[in-house]
Amino acid sequence: MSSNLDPDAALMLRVKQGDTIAFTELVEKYKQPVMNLAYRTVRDMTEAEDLAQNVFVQVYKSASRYKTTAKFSTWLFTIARNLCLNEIRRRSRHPAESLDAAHPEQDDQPLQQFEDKSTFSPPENVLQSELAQQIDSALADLPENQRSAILLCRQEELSYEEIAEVLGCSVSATKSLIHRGRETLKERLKAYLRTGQAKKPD
Amino acid sequence: MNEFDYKLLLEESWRRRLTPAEEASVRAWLAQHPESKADWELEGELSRALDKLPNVPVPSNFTARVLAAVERETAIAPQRRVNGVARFVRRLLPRVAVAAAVVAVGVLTYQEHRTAKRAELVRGVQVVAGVSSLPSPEILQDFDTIRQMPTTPGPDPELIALMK
Repeated sequence: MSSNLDPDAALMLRVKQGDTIAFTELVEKYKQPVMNLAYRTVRDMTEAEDLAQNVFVQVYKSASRYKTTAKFSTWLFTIARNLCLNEIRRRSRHPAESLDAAHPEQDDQPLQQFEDKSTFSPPENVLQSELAQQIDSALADLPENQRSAILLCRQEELSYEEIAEVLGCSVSATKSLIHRGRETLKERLKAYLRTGQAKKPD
Repeated sequence: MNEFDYKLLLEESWRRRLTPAEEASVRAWLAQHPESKADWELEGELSRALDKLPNVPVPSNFTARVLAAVERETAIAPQRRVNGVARFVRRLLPRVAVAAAVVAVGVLTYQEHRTAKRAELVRGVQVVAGVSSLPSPEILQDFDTIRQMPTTPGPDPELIALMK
């Protein structure tokens, strides 16, 4: 096999042969970014876990269709985003709200408190935590495509071509989405960002 | 550096930290265009804040649950394939029957049409065959003369004399 092959693509070649160890490696590597994207799209921990799980099940089931010429992360995030969009559409047809979902009218209430997991901010870093909550909330209010574009761009460090492929649009449209989303975030968060503190605007 | 290059670097800064050389280029440009400085700094702060977004907690048994789900899927996949074929056949059968009936009617109609056409052809051939006993063309050589002759018999003078 070519030494130029993307390491993830090499793992996927093994997954295509039924290698569950290779599959486990991929799950371990990408479970965090997939969970991040899923949660920040559906805003419900239980559903995000189910979604993230289904993403990897779908990856395994679709392994025969994966082409090593495509970057694995692009393919993976395309599957993740499509499943998230399906969930959003399903909710719009059956608008029974989750008890865990945050409600806009409860701005004075803290967002859903996560369990104390090793990857979360330590409780003494209150200012950072509150700023993160404000950013999370502002992200949640963005249109899905802008939010996904920003998250894929900043958090996953995909190239603009890769993000465009995940979103199913052109590179220029992708940059436009990111620009508009960031403008909205800057406007909403500038008081918090400029002071460097989680201080409510006047 | 011009404004186009500045915008390119701005777009790159959305994705990643700029290199020291890139940062220096931007600073030099901003020194010439101080009106853009505030926005550049805000962009930087937003990027740093996005970088600090905490990871969403992943359950410790996440991978195990994924593997269990995959195992369940692969175990029921052969049965699902059999059921799928049976469902496919059940759904397809009525449609195949209707299509076969339509085709049969079409074929029978076409056969009847061909039979009728053949019968018509036979009748036509018979008519033409009857025409074969026509006299030869030579007898028609005085056709015009004969045609000009009166078709009704001329007056009978003896009959006229008797009637007087």
